[in-house]
Amino acid sequence: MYRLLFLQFLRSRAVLASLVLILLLGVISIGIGHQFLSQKKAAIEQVESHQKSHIERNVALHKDDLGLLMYYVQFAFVNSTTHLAGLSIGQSDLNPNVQRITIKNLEGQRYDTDLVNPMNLQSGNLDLSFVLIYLFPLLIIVFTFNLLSEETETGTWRLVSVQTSSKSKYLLTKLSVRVLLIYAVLGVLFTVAKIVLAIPLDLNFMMVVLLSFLYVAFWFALCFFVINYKKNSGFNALLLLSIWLVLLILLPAGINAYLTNKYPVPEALSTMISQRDGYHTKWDTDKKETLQKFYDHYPQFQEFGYPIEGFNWTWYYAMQQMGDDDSAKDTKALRKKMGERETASKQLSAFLPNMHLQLAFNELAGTSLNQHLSFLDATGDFHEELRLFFYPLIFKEESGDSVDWTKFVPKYSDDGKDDKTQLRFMWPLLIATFIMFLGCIIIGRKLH
Amino acid sequence: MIRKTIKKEIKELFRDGRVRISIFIVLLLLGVAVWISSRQYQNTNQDYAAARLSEREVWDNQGEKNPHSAAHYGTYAFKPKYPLSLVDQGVDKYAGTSIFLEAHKRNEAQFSAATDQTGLSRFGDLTPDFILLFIMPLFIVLLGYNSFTKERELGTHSLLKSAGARGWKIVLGKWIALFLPVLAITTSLLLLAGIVLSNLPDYGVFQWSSLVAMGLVYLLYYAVFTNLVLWVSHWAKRSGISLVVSLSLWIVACLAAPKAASNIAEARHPYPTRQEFAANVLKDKEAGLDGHNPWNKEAKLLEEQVLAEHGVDSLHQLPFNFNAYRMQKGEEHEAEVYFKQYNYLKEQYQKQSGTYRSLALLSPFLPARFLSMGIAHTDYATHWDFSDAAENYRIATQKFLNDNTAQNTKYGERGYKASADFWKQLPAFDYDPPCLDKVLENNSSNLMILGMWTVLSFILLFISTKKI
Repeated sequence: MYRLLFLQFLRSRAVLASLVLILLLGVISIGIGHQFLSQKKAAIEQVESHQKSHIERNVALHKDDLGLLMYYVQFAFVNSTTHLAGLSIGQSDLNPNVQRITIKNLEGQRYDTDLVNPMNLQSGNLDLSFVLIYLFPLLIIVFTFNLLSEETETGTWRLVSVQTSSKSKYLLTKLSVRVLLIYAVLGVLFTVAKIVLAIPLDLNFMMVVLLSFLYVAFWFALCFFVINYKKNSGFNALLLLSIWLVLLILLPAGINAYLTNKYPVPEALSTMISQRDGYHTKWDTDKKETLQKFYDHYPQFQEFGYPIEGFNWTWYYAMQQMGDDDSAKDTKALRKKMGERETASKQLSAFLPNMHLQLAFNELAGTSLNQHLSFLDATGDFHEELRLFFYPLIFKEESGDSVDWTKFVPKYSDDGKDDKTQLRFMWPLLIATFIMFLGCIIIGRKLH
Repeated sequence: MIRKTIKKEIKELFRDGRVRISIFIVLLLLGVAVWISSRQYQNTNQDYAAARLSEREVWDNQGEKNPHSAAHYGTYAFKPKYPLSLVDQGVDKYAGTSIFLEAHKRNEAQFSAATDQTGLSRFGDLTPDFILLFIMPLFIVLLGYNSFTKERELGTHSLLKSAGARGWKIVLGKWIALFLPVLAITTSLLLLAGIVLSNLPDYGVFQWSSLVAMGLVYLLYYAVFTNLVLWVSHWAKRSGISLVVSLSLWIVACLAAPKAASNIAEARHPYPTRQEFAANVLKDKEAGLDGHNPWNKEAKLLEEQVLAEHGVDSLHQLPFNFNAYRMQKGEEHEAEVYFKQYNYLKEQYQKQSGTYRSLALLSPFLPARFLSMGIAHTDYATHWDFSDAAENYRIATQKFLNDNTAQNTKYGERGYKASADFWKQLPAFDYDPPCLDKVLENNSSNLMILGMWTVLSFILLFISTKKI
């Protein structure tokens, strides 16, 4: 019987066509993920080789004047891309994963973006997370909308109800054929992804797989719930598609519009302008005052005194520091607001399985806004570290040769990408699926 | 016959609850979208007006200052919002809105709204263009998928046949009946937008002709979908199949193809990384004159050349300050370097657009998207145009500042400060986007592709339905 149900299901041309379509799109999406990863990898390799030659060249040119040398030398700070990012590109196409900073004023450098065609950003990426979140539910709808109604419409339902002991058991068997098939497709795609993208079999990947299986279960339960009402095929298809439309297109767009309006970030522009003023007005302000402020921030450098005659590096870097100090308040406010936005997004999305899944994927793959923000913070720390190392050397007017440049290789940030207890991602999906299951059971009892 | 078919179809559509509901939903969404966008629009415009004004005030009131200090202090070019961006926001969210103009350096536009957003933003925004480009075709699918299949399922198909109805007449009737609601919604939305826009103060120059052009683009786009959906409905045997196939068409055309296009374009014609780009700029810069460095080879060369030109043998004898002159020459060299490197970027961008165009053969969505953004002045091409204009303004500003120093000081003089009222003499940055004719001309290939889609889908529909 099971075999027959399988054969019967697979005989439909629409079913085969949609299976082929989704497999094809899935494989394309994995290819795109692969492309994305290799581009990022190439960029990082480039950074490695570039930094060495960049430092060597500048040291050779300016080694007698460390202050001037540090004006030019850039240090790379890399947000290493996880292999999972190939599955869920998230926000990482928007946000640069390499920062190259000098020890000068940080704010002016931190927001440099990659060179990208905004059209590409707007279209978004065809990654596996897209296929999974948008297309799998559609496939499930196509597979299930006439599960029951096709029997009533072709008149076989009466036959079935006479011949089988339990109608619901028969329906469940029919459903399980579809479930197995979809899980098989999912399994194939994840296996291909694992091999092509060389994803390590770690907790994060397991979690991605588990969440995907749950998400599929949620949609099956939802569809089963709807078809149990015994309406005709056309109605089922329309209702399910409308649900898909509302859950995947309308509600996210609405929530997004709400969040953007609720947490506007006009500070970005004012941060930049205040940063510029903080720095540039210092050219013309009293040098002593600038130095005084600098020593208030870093009392440990007070021994370098107040050289105010002509141009000197102590004053120059003090001035650079002022730019950051003056905009610190704005920066903080901006960061706070972005944090609020992210938190609110997470809270709201907990109610929508698809939005939750997208955010969870991004976080597991290290491509979320939050992770980019912590990368920016880590960049700040890295910058501070460099400053504190070089400031005294510059102020003491040491030569460029006194520094061991070989240790300044590109540094990697690995924040937030370790396996933490990521189980919390599961709860909203688990609860949603559970509710749908419960609904199915209740309605199943009523109807049969 | 045609009129009767239209009447019957429309009656059936409105009798159907799903149609009433979906029309209601689409209208509601459009209303909300227009409301949200116009609010956002007003806020952004206020912010910009304020930023622009305060920025210019800061510039004008710099007081006595050395012109080159002022050049380093810099100024901002703000990208204005255009009336039709209310309808189509295009790439504005991703492209950055202000460019910092300073000495020696061409900068990218910074502060795109998208960088501050969470992964949710990729689900799309509730804007009119989102509704017009994504939801309306879906609406057509939902209204039209059973246009023919229902006749078969209800058995009215054979009635029609036996009544001797001509195929093309029925098809035309059904076509018009399906297109009418779409036409009504689109026209009313655009009319509404037009009225709102022409009544808002400070909304830039609003032109009805642009709005009409945009409306026509959308109608062509919908005509393509109407044709395809009807064709599928005619071809399919059952409503369910027809729905699935039409929906797959929608997914491929509106969701998958644009995303695939972006990834393919990026893979085939990648932009250089920021680091590569900076390295190339630096290499070219170093090959020429550095305005700040009087000792490099190029500077010496320039010195000899200028001395020979003026027939003097010392820089002190020149009628202008050679330092400032050299600064200007250095600036010109740097501008050339940026011109060259940005041209390379531009080439890559044009090749990427080519990739989009070739994928437009798979998706009528792409040409419609490009045309709509182009007409609204929110496409990447306009962004390039703006950033080129800002660069020209930057170059002019540098010349204005350097010339002032060159005229008013002598070689070797230090500590010169321009008078406090000097800054006002710099004309303000003003940018006019390309006019409608120019936009259409630049997008002629997109127009052609969309036109081709329309014609071919009409032919497909009417040939295949000759016999019903």
